[in-house]
Amino acid sequence: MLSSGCVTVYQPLVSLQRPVVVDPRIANFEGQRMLVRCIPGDYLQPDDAEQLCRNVRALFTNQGAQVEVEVPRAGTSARDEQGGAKADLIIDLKARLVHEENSALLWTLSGLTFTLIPAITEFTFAQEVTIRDASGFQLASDTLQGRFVRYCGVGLWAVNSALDLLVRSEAEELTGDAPNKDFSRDFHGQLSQLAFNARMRSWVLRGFEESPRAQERLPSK
Amino acid sequence: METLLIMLLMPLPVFMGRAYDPSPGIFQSKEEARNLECTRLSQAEAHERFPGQVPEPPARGTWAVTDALACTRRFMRSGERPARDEVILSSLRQTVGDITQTASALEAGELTWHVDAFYPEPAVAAKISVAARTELVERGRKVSDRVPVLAAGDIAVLWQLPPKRAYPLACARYFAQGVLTERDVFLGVMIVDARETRLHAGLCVRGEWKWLQ
Repeated sequence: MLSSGCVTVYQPLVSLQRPVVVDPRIANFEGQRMLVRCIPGDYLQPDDAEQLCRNVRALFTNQGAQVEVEVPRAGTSARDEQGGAKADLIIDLKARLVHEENSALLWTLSGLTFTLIPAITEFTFAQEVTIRDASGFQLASDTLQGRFVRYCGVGLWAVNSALDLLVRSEAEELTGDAPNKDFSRDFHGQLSQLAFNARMRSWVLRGFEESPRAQERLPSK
Repeated sequence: METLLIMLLMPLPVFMGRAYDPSPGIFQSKEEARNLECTRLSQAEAHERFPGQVPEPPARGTWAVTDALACTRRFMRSGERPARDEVILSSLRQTVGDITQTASALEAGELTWHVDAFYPEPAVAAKISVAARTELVERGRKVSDRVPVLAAGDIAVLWQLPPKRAYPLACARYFAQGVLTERDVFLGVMIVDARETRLHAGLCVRGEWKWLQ
């Protein structure tokens, strides 16, 4: 009930709004084997890390890659890569909280005024992405930063809902699922582009030879 | 009527306090917000960069907010130039810096450097070449303005070859035809797939081609 009067706004900060050339809907990673590691920390709880990994697996599987995921946990040993087939690309994802703002005074004022004064909470996070090849050589890395601002107040929600309904185009809408969709589009685009650049770099540095494992996996002509 | 006026004025102080918030909202569209480059800075760093707008942090610390979101308008608005050109040009200084650093470390002798960029858009290719030459000069290298050119027949053959064979063959031909001598180095900067946004580079020394990245 409380969240129905809230509007969450997403703002891409560092790198997330950079243009993307690669189309995540087509097979950009045919024959590639990937290992995605979502590393839990203070900001990313193990359950959230698992969800992130599942999400990223779906992203790259849709682009033709064979994806394995791993969520390293404290007290358990890392995956034995020597035993299984090695990945062509190893993607490490680490998240951290850069900034958080949540004023108790504003929440009190909001409650006293029946949310006519909106309560505002915001946080800025950084998603660190590192991509390596099977030997551990770093092919690409980037830090993606985004910001979410949540306004809770019946007046603000009503104004934004009316604007979405009457004035704003679909791409400009702020209410409903818009922030999740916008963030997913940016995050998936940047991750796909980084991985594609890493794949090309690896290919060039190997003298344009596919890795022996990738050759084995490709269908014979 | 008075009650309604009071109700409308109530949230005003909160919104006044967020008048400069760069996130999308009632007065700023998502498109406008995406044309800003924003980064979060500590108050001390923000004061150093924007002394008129951000006060100095108090010496004894504070309970209040101690960081700032600093935004600058992007030089080119989103969609004004093709996506790949935008990414490559907006990170050109760093990319070219990395390439020339690696290249300079590999060939440290008294050589004359030649640079060319292989990019589908000639205007962007020219910018890449100029940036690479400038970086090499700043690193103390002797850089030539001349771009080594092969015979038309060679170019016709090379045009049809995949990058794996084209660049090493071009390098060998440069040397065989005397376009490049033992005192010359050729640095090529290129993309090899239309979908990538990161430049590759290779070095041609004494007729041998070496991929750098």
